[in-house]
Amino acid sequence: MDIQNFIYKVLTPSGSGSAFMISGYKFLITNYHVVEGFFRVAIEDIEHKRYEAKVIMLNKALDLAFLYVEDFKDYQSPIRLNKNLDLDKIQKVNIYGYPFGMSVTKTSGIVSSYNQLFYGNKYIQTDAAVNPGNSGGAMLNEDNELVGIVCSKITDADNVGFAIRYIEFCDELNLYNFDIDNLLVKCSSCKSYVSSQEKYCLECGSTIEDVVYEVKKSTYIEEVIDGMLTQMGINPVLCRVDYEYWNFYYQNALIRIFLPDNDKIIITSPLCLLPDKDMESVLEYIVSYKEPSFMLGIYGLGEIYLSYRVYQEHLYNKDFKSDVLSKFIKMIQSAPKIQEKLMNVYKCREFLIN
Amino acid sequence: MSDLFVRIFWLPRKYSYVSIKDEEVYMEYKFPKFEKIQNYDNSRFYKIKYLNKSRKLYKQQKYKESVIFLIKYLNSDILKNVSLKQPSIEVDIQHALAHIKLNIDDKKVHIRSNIIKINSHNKIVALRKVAEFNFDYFDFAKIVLQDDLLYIDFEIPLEQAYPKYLFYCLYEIIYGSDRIIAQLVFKYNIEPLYEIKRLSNKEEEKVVGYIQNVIDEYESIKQTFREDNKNYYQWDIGVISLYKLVFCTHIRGDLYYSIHKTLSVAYDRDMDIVKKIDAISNFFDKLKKHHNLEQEIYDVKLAITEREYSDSEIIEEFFKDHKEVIDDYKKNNKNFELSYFSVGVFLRFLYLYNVSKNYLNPINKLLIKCSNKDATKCSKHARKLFIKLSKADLDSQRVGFWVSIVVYIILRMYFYKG
Repeated sequence: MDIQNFIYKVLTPSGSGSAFMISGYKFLITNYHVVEGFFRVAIEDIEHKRYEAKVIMLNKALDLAFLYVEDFKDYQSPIRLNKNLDLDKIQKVNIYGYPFGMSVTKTSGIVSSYNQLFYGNKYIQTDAAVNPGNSGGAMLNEDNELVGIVCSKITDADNVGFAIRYIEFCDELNLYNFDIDNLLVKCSSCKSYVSSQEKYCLECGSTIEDVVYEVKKSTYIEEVIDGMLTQMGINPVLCRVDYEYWNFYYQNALIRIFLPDNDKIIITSPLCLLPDKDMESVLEYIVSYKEPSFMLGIYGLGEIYLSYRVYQEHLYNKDFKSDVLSKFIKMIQSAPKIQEKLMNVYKCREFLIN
Repeated sequence: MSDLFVRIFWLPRKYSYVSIKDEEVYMEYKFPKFEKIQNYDNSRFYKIKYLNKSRKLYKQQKYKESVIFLIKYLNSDILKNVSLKQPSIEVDIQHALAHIKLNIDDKKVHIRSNIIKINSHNKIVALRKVAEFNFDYFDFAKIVLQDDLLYIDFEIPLEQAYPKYLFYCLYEIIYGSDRIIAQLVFKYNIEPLYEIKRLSNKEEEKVVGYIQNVIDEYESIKQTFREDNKNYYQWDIGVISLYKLVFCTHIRGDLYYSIHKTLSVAYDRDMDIVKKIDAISNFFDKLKKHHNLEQEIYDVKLAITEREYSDSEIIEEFFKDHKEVIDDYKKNNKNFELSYFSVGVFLRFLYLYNVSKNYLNPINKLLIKCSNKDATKCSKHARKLFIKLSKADLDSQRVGFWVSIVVYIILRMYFYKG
């Protein structure tokens, strides 16, 4: 089994991170800061298939979170836990994750320190390349045994990355009782878990920070777009990949929705590439496309896009909102049809997208 | 003394020092040559009162009136000689190569702009460029093809014509039409739909001569900076030269938009200074080899200003952003650097913002006064003007000046009668 098949991209309205699965456990492991502010997030596998994941455990102090994916049938993984792992003897480590939201990568390095003290916690320090998006990724030894969970780096330094140590992670696993119905929050004062209904730790009386339970609020535009997607039968949790940015497949067409500034909303679909020959007829089709609100255009070396650009204020006005949203839906529904026509009739080439 | 000796000793032979003053040796770098900046469309100075009125009328659901005031904000001359009492108002707008027909009735604003006619010979390149332009440039409008005509046909229901939205749409259609026509005509040799008004041979020669002078001066000063190991100042003379071209009234066509493009590269914050200098240098290399320069020199009418709106707050903020560098040059006695930098700032200011003659005239005065003089000696004038522009609200000062004249005359008349 290829390790990379068990490394997942975590997508939230705040950005993206990484997560992974270990053999014998029915949940994914990531960082607290990756999912902070959201209790339902999207995860994407190596083949870009997305699943909705539920946050079931949060440990803010250790920067750890567990995710449960209902649609996963098989929780087998080649990543193993070796409870007798001797950190002192490990030199080479491999880091798996999704830096900058790109495809999964493997970077290698050595362990620079086993117990680097940073803000009161001990971390593993490595010189392997760690970048934004790697957070929550797996640090493994050469036998694919878990060494740590990548969590941070020093931005102004070269190759100074940190991972939560295997030892602390094992402690967490020993204490945690798998519960898919309740979100359990680790008390920052003692070693107990507090269920999300409790305001304070029943063991030590310590108050749980409100911020742990707080859901990041959506903007008005985000609510409207999420509502429109729900109306189309599309799960908005699976579409949100960043702040005011959505991307998803509608049939075979990739749809992107984003706000380039405070005035506009752009909904666009990269359909295909210009054909190798017989250009005239396809160019004529593109420029003659007369649907008044939508536009077919060419970008770069021949990427054909279908776009609809909306003045934001029109969505804030209740008289125009439904008209704009129906055009949004029409555009999304038109994209796969136009794509099919371009590919079949005009022999356009497939557009390979990450 | 020994320091002084070394500095002079190491100077390349072709230079000589100008004077020794307070034990400082400085080289004579010339202030760039300037003629009066004329292509400054301050006749279309944005009148904010029209925009405010347009917004107010829109809120009152007087949509048609709101549209009329928005057009007045763009250019109050557009609606001159147009009857506003008709149920359907028809307006022709000419902006450089663009010919726009604007129709406002009780239900909608309709904008039509014919771009160009294509034929079998130029069809592929024209359609490709238009498809790219549609994606890259337009936000709300687009160019479409019907039969052999490329055109923009855009409609906004009156109640959706928010002043800011309508401004965006009109601006992108008017400005974009000229830009794509210029590209298709001058870069891809496609016949224009409307006649281009050429200059007389004498006027044309004058503009070509002006361009040649700008190129020669740029090359010469750039070379001096290279040899003097003042490599980064090649950027300064580069942007100053680009502004000199962009402010020349009759330089249009695709060349005009290439200057804009090069300027935007020159100010790209993410780009290395060396690459910016190369981009400017490449632009001038191409300009030197331009075979049909005369083609891109013609007479134009401009309907809208390309500059952004400005007020005293925006102007103050603009100069504040550059003050630290000016102060630093002054403190370190870098006088020639101060001169070049401040000229660049003044020209950028005029390039970016729609400002009144109260700002344009003192800048023009300085540029002409210092033209081709010793840049070091000009630095104090440049700094003085910088301080004046950054500290004072010259528009309201001007109003204050005229008010005081009127008061003076009234008082004189009163006492005379007495």
